[in-house]
Amino acid sequence: MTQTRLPCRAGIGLRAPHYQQVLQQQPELGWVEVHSENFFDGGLPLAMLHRVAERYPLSLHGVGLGLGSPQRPEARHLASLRRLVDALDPAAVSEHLCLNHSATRFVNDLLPLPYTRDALEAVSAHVAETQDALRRPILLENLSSYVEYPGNEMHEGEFLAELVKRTGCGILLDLNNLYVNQVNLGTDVDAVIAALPPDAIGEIHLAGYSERDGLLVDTHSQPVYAAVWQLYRDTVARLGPRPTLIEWDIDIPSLDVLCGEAAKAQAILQERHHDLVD
Amino acid sequence: MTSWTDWSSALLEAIADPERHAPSANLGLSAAGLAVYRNNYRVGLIDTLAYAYPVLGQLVGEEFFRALAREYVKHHASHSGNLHRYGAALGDFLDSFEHVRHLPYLADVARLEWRVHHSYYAADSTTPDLAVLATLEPERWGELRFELADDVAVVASSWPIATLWLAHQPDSGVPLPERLGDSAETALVTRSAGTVSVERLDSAPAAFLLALQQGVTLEAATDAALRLGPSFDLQALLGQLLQRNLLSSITLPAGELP
Repeated sequence: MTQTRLPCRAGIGLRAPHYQQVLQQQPELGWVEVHSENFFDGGLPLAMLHRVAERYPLSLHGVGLGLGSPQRPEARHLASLRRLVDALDPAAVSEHLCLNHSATRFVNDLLPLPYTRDALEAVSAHVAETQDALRRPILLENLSSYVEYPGNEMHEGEFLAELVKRTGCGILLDLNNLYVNQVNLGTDVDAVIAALPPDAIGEIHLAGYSERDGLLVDTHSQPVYAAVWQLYRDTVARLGPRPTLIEWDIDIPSLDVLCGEAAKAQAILQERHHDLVD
Repeated sequence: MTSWTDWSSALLEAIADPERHAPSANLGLSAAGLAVYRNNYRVGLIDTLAYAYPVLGQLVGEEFFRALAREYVKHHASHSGNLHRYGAALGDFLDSFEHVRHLPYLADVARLEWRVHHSYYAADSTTPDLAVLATLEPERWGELRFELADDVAVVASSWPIATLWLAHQPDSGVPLPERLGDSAETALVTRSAGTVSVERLDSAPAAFLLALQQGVTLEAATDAALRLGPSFDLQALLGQLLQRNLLSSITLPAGELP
């Protein structure tokens, strides 16, 4: 896993309601992750993040480049991200394998793209351009999807594996997204994970979903569900331990609750570590 | 089969502009799935506006604000992957939004709030290189251009926008303006140690700073100030601007090399 310097421990997604408390109490956490765009371009947020980075290994997780769009990533966005990466030298930088813009508009969301050979050519170039600008490899995250291109030539796991081969990027494996896709779209979770080169998986995300009109929606608004914990245990058994993050973005709970979720992941990582040592 | 690029564009349009872009059946978009994305899009952008425009929200109330934000979202696409850039034109939108015609100061308050929002996230400013002054004869200093830092802005209005903004800050102790008409104000937005402040400018410094913001020469900006206040003290104001770190650069006249 040359794509990150994150420790093989559990961390939390750090969001605005907890900035001050984390800096004051400095809870025991393996690392923290923030959304890169919230720290463009300067001012108080950036000053706060410098203080966080003094205490914890830091991961910058982008939500806005839209590397799976037909158009290239936005130049000013990439420039802002580069300044942030240069200023903080984070242990990891990640983005989503998603669509978010055309020549005329942005949809500020993480939309699925067609998994075709033509798309692969374009997306490889976008990933390479990003890694060149940042002068480091990035991790790309699999999505939760609610619609699908009807002419897919491969599945998301195969598409990610090709990107790894072509660009040297790593993979951020979101297990809640995979579970949600399994329920909503019938995605074969085992096939997706089996397609991914294990050494390229540099980070795992866990979160909770909610339910709307018969669909599971990846809202990051709940504790991690039992089925996803089980998938996590199985995945850690299969791949070995990986840096693992608890994400919670809506109805954000107290810091204690969040750290409690991270402690559960940490316990699973340690169980597995025992097995390995024994 | 629709090409991957056409499908991607069609999906973006079907989410953001559902009234004009009912997706054709061969795109394979499920109604329930599309509904999730459409809801995310609308709610996400309305929440973004609410975050950027808290004083406007207090002035018109939450329910009305969300209704006007919904109208804005219908007519204004997002043009950046960075949500903090969304909503810049809300002030201009309010100029022609008939449901607020009885609140003519709202548009200027919105323009001020946008600059406050911009200031909060603006890049940390660089300080101007005063050494360039030594490269030009003092009698030509009037040809210099002073650029305001990215976290600084000047907003002029026929309404008391600075006082209105201050009165809606928690613990500001500033009362609402006694009257709205006949009390034009120019507001100065600055950032210090990360905290954004708004202050009311007197008329001569206001004219000077507005002129700098428009990119004119020092001489033209000084003339504008002197027309409004014959006792305008340029030296004192420049000293303050430098001391408070409100300038980012000093540019020599075209053709002069530093």
